[in-house]
Amino acid sequence: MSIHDEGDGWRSFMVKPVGPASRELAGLGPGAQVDVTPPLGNGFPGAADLAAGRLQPAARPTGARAAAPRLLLVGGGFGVAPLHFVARRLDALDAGSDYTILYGGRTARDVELEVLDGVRGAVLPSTDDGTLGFHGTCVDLAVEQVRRRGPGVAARTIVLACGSHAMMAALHAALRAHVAHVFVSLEAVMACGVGVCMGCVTPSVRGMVPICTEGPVFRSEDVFDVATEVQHV
Amino acid sequence: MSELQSRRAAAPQSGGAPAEFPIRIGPARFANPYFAASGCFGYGLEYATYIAPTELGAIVTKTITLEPRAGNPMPRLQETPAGLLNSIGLQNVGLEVYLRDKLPELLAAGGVPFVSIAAADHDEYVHMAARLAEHPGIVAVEVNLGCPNVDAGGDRDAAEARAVERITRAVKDRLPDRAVAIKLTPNVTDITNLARGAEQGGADAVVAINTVAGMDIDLQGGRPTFARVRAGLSGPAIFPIALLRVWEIARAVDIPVVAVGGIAGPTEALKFFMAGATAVQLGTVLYSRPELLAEVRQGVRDFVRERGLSHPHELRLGPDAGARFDRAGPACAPD
Repeated sequence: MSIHDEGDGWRSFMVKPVGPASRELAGLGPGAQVDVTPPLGNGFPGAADLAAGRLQPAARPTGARAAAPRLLLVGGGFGVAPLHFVARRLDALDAGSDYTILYGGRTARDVELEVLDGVRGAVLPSTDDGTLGFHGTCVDLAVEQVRRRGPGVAARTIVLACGSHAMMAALHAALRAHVAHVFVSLEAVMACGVGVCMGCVTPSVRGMVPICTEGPVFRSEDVFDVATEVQHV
Repeated sequence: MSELQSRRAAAPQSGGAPAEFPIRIGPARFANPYFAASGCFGYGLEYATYIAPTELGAIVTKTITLEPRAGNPMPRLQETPAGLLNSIGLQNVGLEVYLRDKLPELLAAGGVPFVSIAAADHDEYVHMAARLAEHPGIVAVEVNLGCPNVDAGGDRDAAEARAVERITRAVKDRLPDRAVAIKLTPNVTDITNLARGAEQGGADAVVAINTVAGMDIDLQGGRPTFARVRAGLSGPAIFPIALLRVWEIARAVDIPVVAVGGIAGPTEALKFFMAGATAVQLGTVLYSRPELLAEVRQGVRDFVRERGLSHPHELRLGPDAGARFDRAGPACAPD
């Protein structure tokens, strides 16, 4: 489930029916009333900050202007849904942001380009079996995209990623050392949503932290460069 | 305005709810018989946006262990048709951080902590109880004897009534002027043995039940869902199980029984009172409906007043209730 788009007085969400709750949500009709408790945790860095390359920690010599970043939005399967929202916010800035959406799926049928209707940036699909777009995973495509523009551009590239845990781990391993930032959006089954039950945790540099309050968006090095510890009494 | 919206609007300012149906457990007094269950309410303030800590008679904390614990690997949760399987693994900040950071925060907010503890052995229980005794703000302690999600202790310990008695004595000896409650696991043949062990060890109350052992298998992955295989089931599915255990324990011991397991509304709370409970705990239901606390309070209030009674304890079914079946003993099924 993800925020997908917004307009004057409305927001739209994309829901993938995978269980009873998501099926019920997906089946709601116009006029249905829903109690919403937003927002839980954080989101991707704001569009204005992204467009200006202005991200914490911002270690920049005084007076220096940040070079406009290159933005790579990498979505695996349903993970592309929140990236659509990011792209629409970037478009609304009218800053002519340099962003590309990489949208990967296993086969052509899994890459539903209409999810990205309305975005102004470039969209590059990829399929594991080569039936649409780049032949390979979206991680392979991301690596190729970074390599193609050279290390100078890579150094000011910010990657936003959403997809399976394995995909984001692979993206981190392949790209983190070469780009300015990699942000990943994690997910887990959640019960309380307020950081109490510890059911939705991820290993991180700060220990096992709830994704509902400390995430879902993390700097990739905060969650993928740590060993999982299991404590036994 | 929806119920949830009005609850949320009221919560931060509605602290200091008047005492309603006050109760006593050992030396401790509580303003009402509605507690938050361990593991479901953090250390007390995390839900403050929805439920002011002062609205609850007590907040049973996440179980504290001597050292901080990272808990089990993911996944830790699995939804079931009428409940929730969890394998959290007692992730907690550890005794010292709890006493230094978490306890003062809840006390400052006017909440009543009912501190849940779990230890690896008898000596560790002694040490933890002695540390808790140094804090006068702690009026009650819940000993978590039956968590299915950890290695040491867990069900093996709790299955021994003698061990229950010994651990209870160890804790109560160091906390003579606080309420000491023993939380029991249902994953045993006869929970009343453990309850009697707790009573003989000097417990001020028994808490029943902890989660019911269960598991899940990941169909696509072809392996058990949880790393430890075994997990704990909570939620509406376990209410009938909890109700039976509360009924049996209330007839086996004279000390108060705190009922927990599957409350989904006032109905279950009332049934627990009828079975003989002194207090009830709300747990899993609060994850999806924090407004449930207010509904339970209102529903119990209405039911009690409609019958011209002044306290839910008066709902307790008399000694001859169920006598036709009791004579045959717990091992026999009713005809």
